[in-house]
Amino acid sequence: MFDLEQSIKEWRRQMLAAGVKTPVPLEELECHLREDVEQQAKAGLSEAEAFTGAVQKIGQAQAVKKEFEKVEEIAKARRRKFVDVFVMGFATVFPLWLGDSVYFKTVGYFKTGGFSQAIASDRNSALAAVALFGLLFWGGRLGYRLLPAIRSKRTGEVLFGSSVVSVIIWWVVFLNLIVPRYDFTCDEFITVFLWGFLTPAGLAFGLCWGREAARPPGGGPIRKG
Amino acid sequence: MINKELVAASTEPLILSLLAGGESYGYALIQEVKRLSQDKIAWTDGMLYPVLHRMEQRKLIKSRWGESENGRKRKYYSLKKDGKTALDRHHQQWSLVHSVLSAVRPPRAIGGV
Repeated sequence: MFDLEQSIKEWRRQMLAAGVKTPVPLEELECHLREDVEQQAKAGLSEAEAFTGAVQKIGQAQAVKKEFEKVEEIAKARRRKFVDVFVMGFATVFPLWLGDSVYFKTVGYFKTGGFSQAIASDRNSALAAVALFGLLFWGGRLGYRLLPAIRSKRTGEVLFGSSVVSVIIWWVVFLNLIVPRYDFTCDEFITVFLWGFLTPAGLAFGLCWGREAARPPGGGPIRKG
Repeated sequence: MINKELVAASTEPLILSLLAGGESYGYALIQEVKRLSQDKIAWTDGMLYPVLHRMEQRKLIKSRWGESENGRKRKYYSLKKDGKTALDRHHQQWSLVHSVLSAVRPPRAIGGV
């Protein structure tokens, strides 16, 4: 005896096993299936025949899942594009703002605070650190694909990971061991901080940003070259 | 039967055109296209829904869950403002293609093929 509910349950299980997600789109496909079975049954088919026909018309689970994955990829690509534009804005505006603050003393802390009395060489040095931060940030983004093609995904991941870890270790060493050892004036501290903390940050951010931008929309290996 | 690339290319304008006539749902859209094309355009049922989702992501249409006449859950789709604009653009493009085809091959030549 054909059991429609049991058959639909089994069909759902197969769709889930193939990776068709719930609640969207599986609920919608099930509604469609039930609608089709009802209409076919009204047209004179048995429930079993109507169900078989409806399942065939919906198509193979893998094919349906692939089509929905394409839709997901488009949405992911759009989100990544948004993040990319946001980071691009940050990578442009932040160094400009910081450089302006450091050199021209037009805003914030730098206007009346520590850098207001800084000597020219300190200000120039600080500006150079900020410029290098911006260059490294953008350089990582634009130059990632120029790195020699690393065929092994694992090797690429290890190299990337160790670069980022090295920067983090440097920060820890810089803040805990180097800075406390010296008696910097405020101006000197700002300059040293910009060189010691900010410029490696530019390198780390640039590498991360470049790596993400080089990743194809649907995931998969990083594009190089 | 219609060439499958042409079926694929015409899916979006057909959905937009059908929804321009009012809110509808997946099963009804498929049946209406079959009826209007006298079964010459037969969409794969399961493939319609990824297209609908993609159009919804592009903000051409919107959806809501409702109930059918017999109380079953049903997802209804309707046209958004951007969808109306896209529809107008599709109509212009398809009309252009049709007019060029008609100019190149007069109607009596098409019937004789």
